[in-house]
Amino acid sequence: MIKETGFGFLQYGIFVTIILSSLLTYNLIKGDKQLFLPGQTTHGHHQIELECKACHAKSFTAGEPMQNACMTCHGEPLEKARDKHPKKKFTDPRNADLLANLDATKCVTCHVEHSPEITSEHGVTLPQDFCFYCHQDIANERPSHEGFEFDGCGSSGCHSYHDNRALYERFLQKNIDKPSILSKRKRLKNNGFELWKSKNSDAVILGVDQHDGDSIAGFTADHPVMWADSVHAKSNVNCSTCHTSGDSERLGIDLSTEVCSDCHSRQSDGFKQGLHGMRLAVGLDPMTVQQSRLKMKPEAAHRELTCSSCHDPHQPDLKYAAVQACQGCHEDEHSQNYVGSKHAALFEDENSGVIQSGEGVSCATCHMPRTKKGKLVYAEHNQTLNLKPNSKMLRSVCMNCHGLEYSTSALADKSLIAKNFTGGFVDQHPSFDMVRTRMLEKQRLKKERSSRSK
Amino acid sequence: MIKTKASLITLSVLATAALPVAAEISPQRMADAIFAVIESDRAVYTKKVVNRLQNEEEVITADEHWEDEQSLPLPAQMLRMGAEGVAEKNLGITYALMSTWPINKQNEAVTDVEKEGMEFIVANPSKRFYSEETLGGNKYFTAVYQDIAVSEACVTCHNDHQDSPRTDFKIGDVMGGVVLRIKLD
Repeated sequence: MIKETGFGFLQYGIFVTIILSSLLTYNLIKGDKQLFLPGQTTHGHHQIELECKACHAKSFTAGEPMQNACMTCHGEPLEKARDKHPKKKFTDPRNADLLANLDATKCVTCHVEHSPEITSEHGVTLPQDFCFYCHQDIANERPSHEGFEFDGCGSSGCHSYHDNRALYERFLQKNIDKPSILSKRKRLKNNGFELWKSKNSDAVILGVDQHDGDSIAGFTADHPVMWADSVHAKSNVNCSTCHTSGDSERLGIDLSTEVCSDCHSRQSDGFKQGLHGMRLAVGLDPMTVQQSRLKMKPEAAHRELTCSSCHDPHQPDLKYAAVQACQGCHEDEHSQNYVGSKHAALFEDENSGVIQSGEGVSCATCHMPRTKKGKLVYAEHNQTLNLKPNSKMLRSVCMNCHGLEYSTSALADKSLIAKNFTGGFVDQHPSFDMVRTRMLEKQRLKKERSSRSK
Repeated sequence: MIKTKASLITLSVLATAALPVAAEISPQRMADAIFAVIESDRAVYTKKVVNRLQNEEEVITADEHWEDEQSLPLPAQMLRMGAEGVAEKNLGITYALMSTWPINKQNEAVTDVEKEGMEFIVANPSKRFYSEETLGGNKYFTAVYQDIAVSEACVTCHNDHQDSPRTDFKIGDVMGGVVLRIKLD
């Protein structure tokens, strides 16, 4: 039959090649590029996995340009975390032998993308005992580490490759033997509006009749009433400030994050650096809830993540944004167990005035902690800055109310985290026993040296 | 007028860029010159900043964890941060502190040349050590210089530190070495 039509193997081959090429070309240029994904990406990158250029500046990019792409997003957070293993520490040729075993100058040595079969916690794709390459003699320096397996170095409360701000020995020494709940708690309150008022004492507080939004599409009589009661009206921000400024994109009601960033730049920058807004940072549409890999409420699947997802601009309510906004989408065990937790009870007490403002614990207290920069206190909207490894939370969150060993032990207990810190747990951590031994040894040495000098 | 000025500037820049090299500088002389800068800056920081403010006027301390303690970086950290800054410029010049008695064991002499150099400068406190070595497939001119205790701040800190393998340092002692490398083409 084939001979009769003259359609042989070669012709079939060409036909199939043309069909496949067309399909691939269409998917690359007009489609979603799914066919070009060599494997599932990590939890940190999956939202932007189809924006290939975000990591691969050009086709088949690797090496230096890819390293630069990593640092474009991760450089600043690593700097803030006082990265203990930055590239600049390893470029000295004296480390050549070490680098031959483990090239610590490149992110991809430990974090290979598109390789779900070898990806473990924190996007690490090396076997967990990689510290061995450079620190195999650690027991000579620290006899307390004799017999430790190297796959446990990164256990919660022990060490972290990048961020050891709450784990280094002196810090543990300084904060050892503190009570589980501190008598004096650190309370930070947002003060952006107060600072603005002190610099703009002559600013007009706008009343409900002074709005200028009648002609804006979607305007209803409720808008001015809500707005008049908001911080926006109190800080001379009228309807036209956000909706019409000559920029055609602002004429409607569908405002982007960029509008908010005119005044709330720290918050919107943080939002775009974090998991909620990272798609916006690379020019993609906002994330929708269904794109998340965490367990979310099915009814929230269609929702988009922009500033107004949590903050109604006409009626900004930080209490709503701090808990209900999160609970509207997140449905994992930890989130569900917040309701009924001791932290939630404190938040309710704060809202009803039983305890002071700032003493309650909302979702935002831990995941968008109040951060102080100079005089300004604001909510850090990049939740990845203190998310994983969870020891990142110790200084920015837990230690505001709890002792360090208590907090470290709690964060090392995964089932306790799932229960949203409700229920009993072992509030001791082996790291602190080692530190106690070191402190005794230090005292003994000091005595010995001073008696020798006499 | 502005145009003429701009042209003159362009010409002078071009002239400078095209300046023929009359003489070459030896790696040893270059290494010695760079070390002179490192050593002088470090001595100034140690004596005029750390020792004065910490030990004489007692207004601020120098501390390994200077960011958390709101204190001054230690002179050794100052040198190391400078070295990391130079390394980032990728000029083929690197330097590092090392010692036979390091507080952090990662700062022991690592390569054969470093080990030989450390032994040499401790045994010959007034002489410098020069050699060549191949690391990671690249050839380097390597110099090792004495790192001498210039003030009370150096010896007190090292003698009192829990992890210091030597606790009898005196001012003027060789406490370690600075290894400086120049990549050879």
